[in-house]
Amino acid sequence: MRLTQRVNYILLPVILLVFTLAAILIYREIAQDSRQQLQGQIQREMNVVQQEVDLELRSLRAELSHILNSADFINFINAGSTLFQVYAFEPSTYALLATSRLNNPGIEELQILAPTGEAVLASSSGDPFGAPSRPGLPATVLEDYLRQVAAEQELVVREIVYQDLAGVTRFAVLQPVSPRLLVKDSQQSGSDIHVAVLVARLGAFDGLRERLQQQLGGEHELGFSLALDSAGSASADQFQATVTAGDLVFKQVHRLYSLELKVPEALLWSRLQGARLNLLLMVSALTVFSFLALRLLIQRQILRPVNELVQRVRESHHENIQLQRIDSNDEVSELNNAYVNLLQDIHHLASFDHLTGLANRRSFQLILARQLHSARNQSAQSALLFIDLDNFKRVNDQYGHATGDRLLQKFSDQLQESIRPEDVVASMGENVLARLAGDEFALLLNDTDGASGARIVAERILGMFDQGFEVDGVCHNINASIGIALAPEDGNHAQTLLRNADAAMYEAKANGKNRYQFFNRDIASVMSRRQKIEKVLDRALDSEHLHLVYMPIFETASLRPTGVEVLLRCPALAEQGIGPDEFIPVAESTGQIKRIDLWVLEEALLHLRCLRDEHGYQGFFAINISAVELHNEAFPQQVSELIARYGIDPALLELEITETSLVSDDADSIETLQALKALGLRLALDDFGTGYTAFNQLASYPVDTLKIDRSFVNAISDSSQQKRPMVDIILTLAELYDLHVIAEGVETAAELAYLQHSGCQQLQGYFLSMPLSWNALQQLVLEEQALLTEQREKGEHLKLVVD
Amino acid sequence: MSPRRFPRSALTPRLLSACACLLLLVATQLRAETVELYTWHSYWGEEVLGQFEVESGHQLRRSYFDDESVRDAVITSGRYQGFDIVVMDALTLQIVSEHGLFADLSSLNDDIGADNFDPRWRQACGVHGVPYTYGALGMLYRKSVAAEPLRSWRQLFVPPPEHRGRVVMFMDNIDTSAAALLAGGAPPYSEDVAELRQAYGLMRQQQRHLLARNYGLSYASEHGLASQMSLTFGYSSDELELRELTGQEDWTFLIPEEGTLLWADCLAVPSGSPASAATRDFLAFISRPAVAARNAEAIGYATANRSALPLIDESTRGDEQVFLSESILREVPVVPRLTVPAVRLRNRMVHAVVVDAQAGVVAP
Repeated sequence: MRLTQRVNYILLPVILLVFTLAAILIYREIAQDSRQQLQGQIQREMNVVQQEVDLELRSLRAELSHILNSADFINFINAGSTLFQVYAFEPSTYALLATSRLNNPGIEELQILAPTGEAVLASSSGDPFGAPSRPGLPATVLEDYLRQVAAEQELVVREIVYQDLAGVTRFAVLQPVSPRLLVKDSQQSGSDIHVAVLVARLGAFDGLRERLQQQLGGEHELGFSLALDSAGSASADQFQATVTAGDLVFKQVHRLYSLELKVPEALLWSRLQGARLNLLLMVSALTVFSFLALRLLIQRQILRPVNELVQRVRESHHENIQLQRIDSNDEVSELNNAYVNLLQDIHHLASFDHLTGLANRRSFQLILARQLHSARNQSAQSALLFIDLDNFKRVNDQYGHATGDRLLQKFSDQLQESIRPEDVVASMGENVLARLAGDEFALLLNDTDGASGARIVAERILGMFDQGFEVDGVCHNINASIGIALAPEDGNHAQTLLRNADAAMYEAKANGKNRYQFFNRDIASVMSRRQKIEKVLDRALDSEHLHLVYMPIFETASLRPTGVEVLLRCPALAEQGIGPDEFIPVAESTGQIKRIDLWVLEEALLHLRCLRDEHGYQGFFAINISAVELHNEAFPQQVSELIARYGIDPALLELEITETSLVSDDADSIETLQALKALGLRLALDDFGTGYTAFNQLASYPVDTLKIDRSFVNAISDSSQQKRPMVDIILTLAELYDLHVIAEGVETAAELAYLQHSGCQQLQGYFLSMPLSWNALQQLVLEEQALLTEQREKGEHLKLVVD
Repeated sequence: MSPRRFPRSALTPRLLSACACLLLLVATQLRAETVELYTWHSYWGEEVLGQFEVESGHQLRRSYFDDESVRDAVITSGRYQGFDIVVMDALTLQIVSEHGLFADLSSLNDDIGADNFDPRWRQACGVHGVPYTYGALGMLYRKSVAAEPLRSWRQLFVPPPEHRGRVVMFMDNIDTSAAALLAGGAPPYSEDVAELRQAYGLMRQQQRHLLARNYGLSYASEHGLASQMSLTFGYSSDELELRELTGQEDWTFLIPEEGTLLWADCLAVPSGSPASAATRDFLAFISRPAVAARNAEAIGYATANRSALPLIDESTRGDEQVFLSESILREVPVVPRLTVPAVRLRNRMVHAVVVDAQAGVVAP
């Protein structure tokens, strides 16, 4: 998953979770607040209503007191005569009551009761004709009070708040009234105590219910109950809020009543509807906003730097590294810098030889190209020295690779010293010294003054080996061969210059090693010729424009052909006078030889089978293989497959290897030879005598045949040679090691005669036969078969004759 | 509270201040006896009183009540003993005298010339009072408003359309119920419950047409020229006052065809101590036909002194609303005494009507 996607998947749930949790907490707070607010509101309302009730009660008490203390009432109650009372004072007292009722519209009943309970004054609305009705007080309140007054038990004011069945709340005051004494005197005697009864409707509760219903929302019914609580004076004026089954219950205890208000849970829930909606919107909006903002920030501050880093890394390759160190403290910078370090390390590993610390071939080529480019621009001269250590392999073989490595390191150190800027004719640029491979080094001298500067350096390098080269106290006999190519004369491009210096180095080696060689026209032409050969060979291999010719090999005594040596011909090269002697080494150096060898082998096997199958040929084929194959592990297997494919008796095959290609104690080569021999075929050392094979070493080579080099055969007829011919020595040697011998290059009758005389088993050469084409070979085989048949018949005939 | 003697002090401030100066003058000149008079406002001819003081050398000092219940409270509290003469309505005087609160004035019959008084008023005042004035209850209305002259009490309770909402009615236990009884064709002092129930119905019915629940003169006094009143309930002497107060000259008083009721005021002497000489002198002085005639002319009320009538000037004497015709006087009973339950029922009727009206309860 991309980081961007992952950020989305992680960010959104996390933000949503955080905001949801926050919203839940806020909602709980809001719910709590709302509940408290509601509680406060209801408490205020209930307090207000209590104050209102108290005010109403006070007003009603005051009204009653006003009436009872008014002159009119006092006159009325004190009027001696009933007639006088009703005539003189009752009207004004009624007027007083009417005014009171006007002042307090809640008053419903206002009666003065005689001790007997008879109404002396009764201010009631409605029909005046009937007897005044008893005030509508609950149960037996009035009767009890009258009884107690009559019994002089209760002379205190009695107040009650009550509710009738219709839910109307009323306030009633029962008060003893004396015609003579002050109403508050509790010592008054009960005999003529009147009782004033005031009943008023309390509007405050209705108002409370309406207000709360309005404020709290009409669809939820508020539980509203009022209880008489005459005994509750101890807990008067208390406010309680409790939660019962989710409903909020408020209770207010007054001296005269207790009021209970129930707010249903559904109302609390519906009050928070808006808050819930708002929170939902808020969470959604904040989540979207935060998500976008955070994503933008992460995109800008984290992902973009990372992506930019990725982009730079992608665009970077060793030539063009886009990455640069960033002087910053953040992780992306650290990652960047770590990556830069890693790249530099890798670059170093890829560009430098770990053994010597010098540039490797790859980086040297790059440097060379760069230097040459800048030199071209500045029209400066450069010299490339291609250094190869002579005989280094011998050190490796004799003292081990560790010694060889140390030798290379030491040489590398000395080489660097030898070109110190202060005493070098050329100024030292960056890493102009490189180890190209094994024992090959390259040195680029910049701004050198042509050949002379290069020559001085080359001589100094050669000078290192004048007294041998000492490593670990052992002085090794090694030298250096140096090829020198100059830029721009010998080439302007890295590949060209390097190839030319290499060619010059080979020339130096060819000229005897331990020397330097400037690239020149001759080398150039040789190289050009080699390149031409390479191209032609390539084409010839591709189009099979190669063919084989066959050099018959004769038995010395009978001079009858017993086999042929298969020779390769390339007509395209032959036209230009280039023979195998010249193109085979080129093919060996280019690697084409492996294809050539296999092609020759297969073609030869094909022809051999053809001769065998069609003509009953029983001779052998000798086939040259390159020394390169001695180091080709796959070769024995390839030969084996071909033999099997063509169904050839391996005993009829002889593989020829030049003696010079064999190096003493070359375990690889011997192993390959043994593997080939194990296939059942024979091995021959070609051009024997030109190499330096010690005689005792012949025993260790699994060869069957020595082929005496033509130079020794030709020497037989050289009259100037007074010494015993070399041929004799070789033949003696072969006899000693029980080896078969074939002499090559027999060109004169004298040579033939000598060889016949000296006991060489087989011969070949122009004197006996020129190389034959395929058709000629077939002809020869036919003739030979015919001859053989004839002789056999003759022989039988003689035999018959003799018999 | 009876409005029968509406205080007129506000109407005649100059006259009052002149009297005060005169009294002060007399008091300082003669250190004679003082007669304490407890009375309605503007109920005496100032010149008449001045003459008394000059003649007798006594000093007259007046204390006023403007509400009968206040006077009655003063009486029941006993403080009335501080007064020498109290103006009492005949009915109250009869009731309180049964308890011996006022002195028997039989001994003064010769001094006051008891025979000069109409026996009707002498009977009303009894032995405890010297008859002073009398009057009748009726309706007052504006002729220019009325589509046709009013005749019946019924029109007070169920007014003709032009008067609806312009009626000012005083709610008195006896007088209002009497008018309602008369309107219903019943005797004004009926104790018949059915008749009273009918009267109660009329009273309730009337409430919706009221401009104010007040005494007409009080209303006029409050609103003056802005008065909207066109029909009210009052006494014969109110006609002039209404004209003065409202500036509406078309006010007229009538005694409806169903009849009316009469009131009589008496002068009574508290029973605590024997009547002083000055008191006796004053009662004798005021009962002289010539003095009574001049006093009646001054105050605009009919005098109970039969012998004074010929001495009163024709313009006053000819006002039949003040000096009621003999036929009316013959037909209409002087305020009789009602039983306690009858009064109590009337009190409760009036109270119920007022309370319901206050509460906005509309009669059917």
